[in-house]
Amino acid sequence: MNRDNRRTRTVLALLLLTSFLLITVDFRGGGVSDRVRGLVGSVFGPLERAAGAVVRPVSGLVDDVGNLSSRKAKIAALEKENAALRQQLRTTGDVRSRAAQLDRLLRISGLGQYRIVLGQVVAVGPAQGFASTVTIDAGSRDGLTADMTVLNGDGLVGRVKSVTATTATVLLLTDPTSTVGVRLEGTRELGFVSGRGQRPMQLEVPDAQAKITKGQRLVTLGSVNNRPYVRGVPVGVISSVLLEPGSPSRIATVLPYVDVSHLDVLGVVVEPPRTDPRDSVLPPRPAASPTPSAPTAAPRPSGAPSAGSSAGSSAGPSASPRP
Amino acid sequence: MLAARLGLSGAVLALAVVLQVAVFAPMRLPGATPDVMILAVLGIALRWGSTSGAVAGFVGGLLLDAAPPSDSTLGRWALVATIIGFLAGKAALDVERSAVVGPLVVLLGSIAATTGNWVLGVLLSDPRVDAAGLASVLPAAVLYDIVLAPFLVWGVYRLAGRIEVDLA
Repeated sequence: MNRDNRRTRTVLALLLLTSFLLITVDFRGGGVSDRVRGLVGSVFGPLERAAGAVVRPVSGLVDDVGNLSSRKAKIAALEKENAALRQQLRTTGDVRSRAAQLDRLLRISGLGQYRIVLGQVVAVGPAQGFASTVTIDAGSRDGLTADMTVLNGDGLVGRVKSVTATTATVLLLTDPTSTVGVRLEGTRELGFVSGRGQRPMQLEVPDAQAKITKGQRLVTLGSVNNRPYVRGVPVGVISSVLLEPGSPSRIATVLPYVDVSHLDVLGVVVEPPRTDPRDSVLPPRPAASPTPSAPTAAPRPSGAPSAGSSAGSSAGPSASPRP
Repeated sequence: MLAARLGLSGAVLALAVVLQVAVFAPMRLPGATPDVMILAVLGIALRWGSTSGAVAGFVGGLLLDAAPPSDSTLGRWALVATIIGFLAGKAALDVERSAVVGPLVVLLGSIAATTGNWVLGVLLSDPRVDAAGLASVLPAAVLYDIVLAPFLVWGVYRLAGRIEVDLA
């Protein structure tokens, strides 16, 4: 009994010491922890993929049940929005500008010309770990490496944090360690969007004089060599501007386009756009739409050769009839 | 005998980790994720005692630290689960004598798991942890653990019982 107790204590002390050692080693950063992760990941990646394949049809059902209350709230909110939209239909101008803006957003993703690899979410980091990460069933075998941009149909999801042969771990943009450089649409203001876990994401614009308003959309600024973020991916919309007089920067909360709690199929950008999609975000050049006071004879004012002789030859829109 | 115990607990813990991250976590239950790994460790500790509990906690925790979606510091869950496994093993002799012991161990173990990981996060100045996060996760985690315990803890406990161990 006594001897057994001593042995137990020795084992406990040894294990605790090893844990501390691991934490220290990993905290300082180094190859050892990466190798351990790689080893465990190469075994658990396929297991998680298999489990995900079996469970996916069932988990969808549970997901629906778990969100019943939020669905009800959503229906109420949608009904309200419906009424509001009906009202707005009468104020067509507003709607038209909205449609134009949405159109532009669509064009960004289309003009982006990213080559993406698709991956299905198979595992999710437990909430008790306080990290926002998911695993997708595509890995280095599919050409993925760390620090690639991850997106879905709605916009930016996050970036690849690490890969195994068959899986990749994605750090979501709502994770508190995630910061994304963004550009405000319209103005060319720069800012940073930081994740804050369960709480709404925060936008910080270093320029204290910057004009930021609720409803402004954000796209990624793009990183050096397109890693970890490529340019022009929709990030979210400013939901409220916080007024902090005397602050050296402007702060706002951001609602992401992507619903991170309902991720399914994600795309990883394996080939960044060849052409810089940033310009497609900008409004069309003024030469393309001359002042309406000059509808001389041409049915389409944009076709008038007299308009914008300074940059007329290089203006893209005027060359549209060209095959 | 030792090999059989290691093999059985290793398989159980690996299965528990996969269950936790690939089955329960994607369900996005409101608030938290059931601590399947911790529940398996409790089942092993309650049957085989403190030494096995500590070892099982260490192995299970390390797997959870390193298996794919994880991005936290290696050894964090290992440390927490080692302590929980060790302490739960202390109750191994009493668990058959009283009906309260099992549920009590599950309750305390569940609270200790989430809180312990949170405290370690604070000590390591992890930007992800804050008081609001703990408050929102803890009640849900404890609730799910208690609901699942009759199946998971008891199941592992029964399974581990196939291998006799002298608890001394």
